[in-house]
Amino acid sequence: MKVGIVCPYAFDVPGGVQQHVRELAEALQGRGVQVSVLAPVESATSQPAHVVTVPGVVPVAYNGSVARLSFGPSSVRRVRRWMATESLDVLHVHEPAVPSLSLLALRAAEVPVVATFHAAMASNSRALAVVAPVLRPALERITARIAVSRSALVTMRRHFGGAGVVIPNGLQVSRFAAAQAQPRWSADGGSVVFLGRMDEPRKGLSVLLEAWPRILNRHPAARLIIAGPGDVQQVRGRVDSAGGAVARTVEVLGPLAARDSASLLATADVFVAPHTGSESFGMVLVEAMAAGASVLASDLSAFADVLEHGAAGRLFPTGDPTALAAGLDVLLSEPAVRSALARRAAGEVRSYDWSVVAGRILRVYEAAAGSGRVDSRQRSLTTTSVSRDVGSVVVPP
Amino acid sequence: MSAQGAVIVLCCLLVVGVLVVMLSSIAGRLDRLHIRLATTHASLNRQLIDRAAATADVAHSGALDSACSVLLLAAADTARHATTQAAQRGDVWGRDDVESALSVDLRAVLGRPDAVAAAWHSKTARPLLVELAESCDRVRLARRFHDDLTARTAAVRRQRLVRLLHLAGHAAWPVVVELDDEPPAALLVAADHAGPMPPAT
Repeated sequence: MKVGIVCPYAFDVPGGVQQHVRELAEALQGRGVQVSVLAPVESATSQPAHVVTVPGVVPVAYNGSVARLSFGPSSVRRVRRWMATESLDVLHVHEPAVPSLSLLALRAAEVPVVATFHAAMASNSRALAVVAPVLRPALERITARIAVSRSALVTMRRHFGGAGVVIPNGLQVSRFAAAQAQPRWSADGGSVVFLGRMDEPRKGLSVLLEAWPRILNRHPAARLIIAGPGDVQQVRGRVDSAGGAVARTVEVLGPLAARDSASLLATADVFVAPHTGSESFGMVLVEAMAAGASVLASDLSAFADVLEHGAAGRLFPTGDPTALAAGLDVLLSEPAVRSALARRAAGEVRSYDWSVVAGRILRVYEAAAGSGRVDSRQRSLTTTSVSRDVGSVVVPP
Repeated sequence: MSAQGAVIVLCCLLVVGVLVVMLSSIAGRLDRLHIRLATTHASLNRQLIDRAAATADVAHSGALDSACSVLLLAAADTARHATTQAAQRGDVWGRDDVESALSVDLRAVLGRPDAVAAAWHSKTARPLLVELAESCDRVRLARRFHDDLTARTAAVRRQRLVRLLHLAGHAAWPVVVELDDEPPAALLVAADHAGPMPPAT
């Protein structure tokens, strides 16, 4: 089977969809599936052999944030040429509602199309309501729809209708499970970690910082480590202005390399996800769970799903610093609770491993394309033998 | 006067032109929908045949006790027989009950973790069990995609213009496939966590 995967966002810029496409392609190749990826790039960086790049992305404002997309006549030509040369069995487009390569590929598709919807958007997204009727004929070409979470499925259904299956984002669990804890980030009183864009309000860092002095009252030896993209000086300034005890116990690391962030999660006693905005999936939660941290997260529906409604990690009312402090107090005081959560989480994350997720996506390809794993000739032979053999059942010893 | 007449004629031509483009685009859209509907239908058919064969393979493998083997083998054979008969009648469908019964039997035999764990002991049966789990999942997916497309096609065909001008031609009215396709849960979990298997021989 040959699959063409289309990414709408610049492949050489970090992002969740890009990472998903990159890792999915690798996991499928590991299963013997031929893969060709079509993706826009910002600059002429070197990409693996199976990635076909489309140069010339344009940064545009779309649906509330800046996205680097690829469109226009030359992109259309390149999509057509790619499809003509690759002779695909299945086309898998990501975020087909974003005006970029995925949408263009959809319009030119001749083979069965699978589409993955990643984003979860507010119900009152006016932009999406306006463009939905225009997109509908193109989206009608999709045979199989995948949403990465229930929130993403709800968003998809609300704006475009139709049914879909939920298959979560994948993760290399072993990479996080093998990450080593770093003594320099640990603390006797418990090490609490925040990892995410520090300057994006909906990641909720301010909720955590507001709760922190209350934690220090009960756990003076606890330590808070803040990491992620954003202005370190600005966050440091906010921390220092909160007074001596807070300034002493909070460390601002800023952006980390992938390996370091896995180590940081492995070191964390508690990973806090105080997000306030509409999150579609919560990959970082799964990463923390895979690294062995116990998780405390706001009760957004995507987070509640990942944490099994509190069984694999604790939840608190979104945006409530008092509740966050109370939840964190319990987790820091009771190692038994932490280890029980971590044990449950280690079991839950297995279903997010690429070995499981790629298999599920492959079955969607097969169901959409009308193919199975076993060679059809061999299959039909087995089938004809069914009625003959009904009398002679093999009895196990 | 003649200039005015020319303008009127031009306007009429324009309106007719726009109408023709609009109608042909709807007809093209419908045509594509029906082609894909046929594809998903064929896929569902294929996945059901696969599932019956995979069920028989597991029943023959010796991994199950004899009662379970007999039950599954009989259900798989009934499903296969119904497929052949339906094909001979020229009937596209008409075997929903039989396929639903196979789903019920598969859940009864392999729906619980202890039953799957017992069957899992047999190394030779493991790839067959994985294949069966995957074919059950593919049946469920294929039916969902088929029914989703059916609903979308029917929505377009219900439009007044489409009905009035007979834009769908002679294509049969799309019908959803009603059947119990719920896979045996424990088997699916076990197969998912087994990772990729070498192809069954």
